This record gives sequence, structure tokens and C-alpha cells, in this order.
Amino acid sequence: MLRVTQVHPPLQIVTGKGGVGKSTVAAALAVAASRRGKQVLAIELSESAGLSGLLGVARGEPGAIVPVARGLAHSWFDGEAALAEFIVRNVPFGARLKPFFGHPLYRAFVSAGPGVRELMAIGKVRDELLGLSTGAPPWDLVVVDAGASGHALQLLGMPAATARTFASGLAHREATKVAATLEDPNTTAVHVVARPEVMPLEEAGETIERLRERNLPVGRLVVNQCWAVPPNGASQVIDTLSLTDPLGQSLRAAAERALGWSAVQEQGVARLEARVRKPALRLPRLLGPAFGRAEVDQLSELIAGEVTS
Amino acid sequence: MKALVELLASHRAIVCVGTGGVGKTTTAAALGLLAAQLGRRTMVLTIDPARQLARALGLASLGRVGEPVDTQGVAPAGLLHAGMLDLKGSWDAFIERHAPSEQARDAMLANPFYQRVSTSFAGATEFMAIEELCRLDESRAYDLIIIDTPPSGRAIDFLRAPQRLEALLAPEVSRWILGKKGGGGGALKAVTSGARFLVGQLERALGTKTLRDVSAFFTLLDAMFGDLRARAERGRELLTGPGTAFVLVVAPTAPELAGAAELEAGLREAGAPLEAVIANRVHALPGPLEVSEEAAARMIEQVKADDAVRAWLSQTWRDARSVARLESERLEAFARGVEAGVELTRVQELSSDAHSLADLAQVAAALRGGVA
Repeated sequence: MLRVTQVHPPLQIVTGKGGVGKSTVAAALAVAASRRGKQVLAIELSESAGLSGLLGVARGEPGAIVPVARGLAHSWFDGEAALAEFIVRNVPFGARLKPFFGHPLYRAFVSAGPGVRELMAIGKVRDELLGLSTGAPPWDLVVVDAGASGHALQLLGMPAATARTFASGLAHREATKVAATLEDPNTTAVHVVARPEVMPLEEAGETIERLRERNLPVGRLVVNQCWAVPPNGASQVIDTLSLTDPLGQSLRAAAERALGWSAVQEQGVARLEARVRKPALRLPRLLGPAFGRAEVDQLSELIAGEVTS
Repeated sequence: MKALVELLASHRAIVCVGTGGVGKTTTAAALGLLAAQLGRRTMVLTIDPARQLARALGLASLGRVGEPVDTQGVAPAGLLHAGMLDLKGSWDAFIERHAPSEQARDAMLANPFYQRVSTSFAGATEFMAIEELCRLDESRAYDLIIIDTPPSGRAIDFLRAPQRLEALLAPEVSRWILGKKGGGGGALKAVTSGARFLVGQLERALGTKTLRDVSAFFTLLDAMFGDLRARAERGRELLTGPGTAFVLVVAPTAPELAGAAELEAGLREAGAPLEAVIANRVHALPGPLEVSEEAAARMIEQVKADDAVRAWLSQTWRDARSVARLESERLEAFARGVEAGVELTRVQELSSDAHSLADLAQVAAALRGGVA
């Protein structure tokens, strides 16, 4: 048997259409690696606090490292706070600029500056990965919940775009470094999550193609909330269910729904796998009352192969 | 309590808000179809960059202006147009309308900073969506405009966009960059030397060419500032006026409902009139939910099929019933937290994704029915 040494890039970024379970997949990756003895930082770059909620911690101040469990910590980055930190650290006499952070001109730049906030947020991810802010690299793995596909593509494409826009200067140098980290397949993998339905699958296909256009290394295609594949003969049995009593109707409705959606799933996943030339990693539908740590732990066992051999 | 039908009949604008992935765009399109069925001349404007609405409406592509939808067979009485926000095109058109001269217009359109900023600054999408809404409203071409909002958890930004734009364009900002005197006095001098230092640092960071572009951009914008502020004000009036209703679209899953609750609280705080909640993707089952496991097991036992199929049927039914129960409990809890008088309409999930006008008509029928 041919053995392939699988690369587990230390920076794993998760994206996908809204509501497909991106944060869940990010949390499962982080939990799986930390349970296998790795030092893991899970970072939230999306607007909503989904990841911290799933890990069972409250969001701290932006940039603060909040311990979750042994070997696992959480943080969230805000572009504006990251920019202030960057200026103080990297700009000559940067500390002297502090009083201006509330200034209208500065504020105009932060909100109108081309991708300043995105660049700073993703730049700070790189700082954490390389241990630039503390001196020593403390993390074996950094998992990033990058939010919905459009937001993530903008975020991940920003360093390269900025490096092109600014021909010289500090912004050009910083952007070039960050872009190189993101484009290195030994360092970075961007996982794309979908649900087994037409639109989320299609969006996943588009996202993978756009990531490839931008030279960003695509990790796994994860199809979350998959239906169990119905056994042979399942469709024939539906017609034998009685429609005259409520129980029969209820059974039939449940069976028809499962058959319908699993057909959409099989067709859609096969089409997407062919389109992006990549096999899907399927995760099952979990039907607990509230989605929380228990579900994340369950999924982490299924996804552990992505972070450890 | 107002049924959705009444809401559509009595408003000029409906704003659909909701977290990503709940079917907001499809709901907006179905509301549009329902309004057309009621005889209203309706425009559905979507912001979502995906081609979802186009597909559901049977259109190959959507223009900025709005394309007529062939509703024959599903809404013979009314008129339905659909459009997608083209951010760059809308900003360019805005500049064309408001530039004080042809030279100013050309200089602005060619400015590299403008080209980057017009589509990327915070609130650019929201401001332009509201501007297009105002223009559609002013054109009087439609009785009702239904607008989809950006797919973020921050629909509240939609309401604040005009203020954010004003903050960005505050007269102090252009005064700093353009070095205009305003107010006078000793304090200004000290501030100006600080500004020079700041500009010097920005120059180091961004390069001199960028700063020249930025300064040209603000000079050009300064001449349009009055117009921009007036339009932002007009947008705010329209959104908070009695002719506009906010409709919250939710899905009955735990994370989506948590996001929706945040959104609802934000809207309430902002004084936006939330008039209805639409729960999409509901998985109700026919018949009472309290049917016993034993009764179901007996019925499945009698099904003529092999064990694998019977086991599948049994599991499928138990899962479906548990989903139906959980969703119903969650939605009831959610409705209790929402302001009194706001109606919750449940829309049963379609057997597949909505990709035809007939699918949309099915959703429209569920919306017409009111409380399920």
C-alpha cells in the first residue's frame, strides 16, 4: 500500500456559506488537536460569537487569549484594535500616535482605508502563528473561523491585493509577508464547509475556485449535516405506507423527506466532488436540542485525521 | 396583529433581515411574488452576491435596474420586477448624478482611492442599498419595494449606515486633509501640527502616491458632501417612516435563533419597526406529535420490507419527530421573546431547494396562509 505522509498545516482556516456549521467544524478541529496533545489557539474572525459559544467560553477583549481547556485557548481579533497594536509596535514613534486613535482623520482611514482592518486582523493571525507578539511560538495549531465565504475571501485576499495597491512603504512590506504565509501550502489550509443542499454546495464550489485563483491552498471540502444513505428498497416501501391514518401520514412524510434530501445530497456532493476534483469529508447530522460542546466533541473524533496522523 | 398579506398591502417598503443561510433571499422573492399576486406592482432588490434569486425567479442574470419576471401562471394580476445591487455601478451612477462638473466626475471615477473605497468602506453596501431603495421609491414605478439585506449577523448596520457615512465624511475630516480653516483660534494650530505629524506617518506607511490620491478623493467628495448628507438623511427617514416594515427571517435551529434574537433586540433598540417574523425551513410532521413509539413500532413491524429498510424507517421517523418537537419548542420560546403583536409565520421546508417560480409560489402560498 502506498503510504502518503499527510501534511497538517499549522494554520487551518474554515469558511463556508452562512448556517452550514463553519464554527462547529473550526471548534471540532481545535478540540481534536488539543486532545491529542497539541497546543491550539482557536481564533474568531467572523462577526458573530459562534466559536466562543461552542467552546463554552465568553469572548474577552479583542486580542486577549482566553484559556478553554488543557492545550486549547480562544481569541477573537478586531481589525481596528489590531491596527492600533501594529502601529505602536511597527511604526517609528508609533506610541506617539496613540492620542490620535480617536481622531476623525485616523477614524476615516480605518473605516475607509482599503482593507486596512482586514489586513490587520489577518496579519495578527500570522503574528500569533509565528509567535511574533510573544517571542516564542506557543501554538502547534492555529484554527481560524473566518466567517461566511464572501467575508473570508475578502479577508484572505486582502494581503495580496494590498501588496499590489501599495508599491512601497510599510503597508506593502507587511502585506507581502502575510500573503506569503497564506499562500504557502505547508503552512496554511483553507477548509470549505457546506451543507448537502444545492445552494451551499454550489457556493462551496465557487469558493474553492476563487481560493485557487488567488493561490490560497484549499484544505478539505467538508459536507456537514449529511443524511444517512437510505438502504436499497427504501423508496419502494413508501408507497406501502397507509395514508388513511395520521401515524401512516407522519411516517410517510418523514421517509419522503429523508429520501428527497438524501437524493439531493448524493447528486450534489458527487457533482461538487467532480467540479473541484476533491473528495468530500462527510459529517453526520446531529439532532441534539442545543448545539454545544457535546456535539463538538462528537464531531472532533470524526475530523481528527485533519490535524494529527 | 397583522397578517403578512396586510403588511404587503399597506406598506411601500419591506426590509428583510436575518442571519446568513436562513433563506432570506428566497423569502424576499416569495414575498414579492405574493405581493404581485395581490395586484401590487412590486420590485424585489437583492444584495446577496449569489445568483440565488436569479435562479429562483428564472432569470439568467439580474440587472441593477430590475428585470421583469414572467409571472404568468403564478401571479396573473400583478407585476414583479427583480434586481440585484451592483455596488460599483451604483456608486459610479451616484457620482455622475451628484458631481458638480464633468471634470470633477471624471477625476473622481478615475481616482484609484475612490475605486477601492467605493465598494469596500464600512457601510458602502448598506448606504447604496438604501440609496437604491430611495430612488426606487421616488421613481413611483412600484407600489412596493422589497429589499434583501447583506448576509451578515449585523443587519443593524443597515440602519446605521447613513450615520457611519456621515461620520466618515464629517467636515473635520476634510478640513484636516484639505487644510481648510474652520472655527479658528489657538487650539486649531496645535491640532494642525499634530495632523501634519499624522499625515507624515501615514505617508511613510502608505506611500506618497496613495496619500495624493486620498487627498484628491476628499477634495472631490467635499463638493458633494451636502448631497451625500441629504441622501443619507432621506434614507434614514424612509427606513424609520411608517411606510417601511422590517421582517425578520429565521430558521428553527438553535444557533440561527440565537443570532436572530440578537438581531431582534438590535432592531428594537434602534427603533426600527419589526412587523413580522417568518420562520423558514420548518420540519413539521402531519398528525399529532404525541403518537407513541410503540404504535409507530407496530406499524413499522407490519411493513413488508427487509430489516435494513425497517430499521431505516424507524430511525428516520424518530429523527423527524424529534426535529419537529424541538423546532416547535424553540420557535415558541423565540416568539415569547419577541415584542407582542408581531406575528410568526411558519414556512414548511420544501422537498428540495427552491429553484423555480413554482417553488417560490409554494412558499408564497405558505406566507399567505398566515399562522400555521
